[in-house]
Amino acid sequence: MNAFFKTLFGDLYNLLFVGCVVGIAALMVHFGQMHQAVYAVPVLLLAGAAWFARR
Amino acid sequence: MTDWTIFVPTFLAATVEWVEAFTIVLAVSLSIGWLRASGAAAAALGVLAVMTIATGGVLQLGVSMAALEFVIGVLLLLFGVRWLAKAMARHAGFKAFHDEDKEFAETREALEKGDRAAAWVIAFKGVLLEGLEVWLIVVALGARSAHPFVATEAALAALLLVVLLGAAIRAPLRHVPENAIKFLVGTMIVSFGTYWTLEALGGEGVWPFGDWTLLILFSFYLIGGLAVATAMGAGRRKEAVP
Repeated sequence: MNAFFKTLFGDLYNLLFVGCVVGIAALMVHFGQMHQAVYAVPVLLLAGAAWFARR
Repeated sequence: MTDWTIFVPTFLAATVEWVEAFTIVLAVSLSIGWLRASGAAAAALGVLAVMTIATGGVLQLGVSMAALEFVIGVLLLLFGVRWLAKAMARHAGFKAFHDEDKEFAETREALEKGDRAAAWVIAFKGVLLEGLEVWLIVVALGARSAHPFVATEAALAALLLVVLLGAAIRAPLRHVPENAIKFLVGTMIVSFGTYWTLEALGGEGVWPFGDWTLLILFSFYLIGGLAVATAMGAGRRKEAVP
């Protein structure tokens, strides 16, 4: 079962990272910063992927 | 969204996963024979088919498009970030390239310790776990496509290709450029995930260039990912020099 969840969702760090990025995007959209969010989210995701690559 | 934007990433991702599954089945077949090993693989594929039909049906049951987009977008991000990170780590030299021969040898070693039933379970579990990633992509991309079966057809086409190549070669498919495919697919999956998550949160007008934004996101992640991974690799080599 553990392998099942890990295959689908990754580890805790992966869940936390994507959760944080989605949370930031939701907050930006909520506060009317939608047009900034479309630039910020891809940059955050690429930075996160680079961090995971080094781990 | 055109069929090709769904077909290509699904086909490439499925090819990578089926190649890994084939290596496990090939190793198991040397212990319990082709017939039993293929039976285990077929049983796992049957489970995956049932899961695809069940989840595909549930996703069509009156769920609002925004909610569907959000769930699928987040799932694709969870999955795509890992693939992209793994491909970047291999490109930069932080992680060894996937070695089908090593995988084959490790599976053979594990089989020597177990009995025939254990060997069957290894083949079943191997195909099921590799196939889970294919299932996720098929369900996620298929649910947003105008033609929901395109993703399934792509996964089946990849399976047929790997089975035919594997049957012809009868050895681990070591020449498949796994990391290059993983880089491309990781990039595509993160692009879809970004696009749908933000569209679900901000509405249809959130992306200034509509569907063309997918191409821009893909280029950004691919060029950016390669540039960052190359820079990290150069930094790593510099640190290694005394």
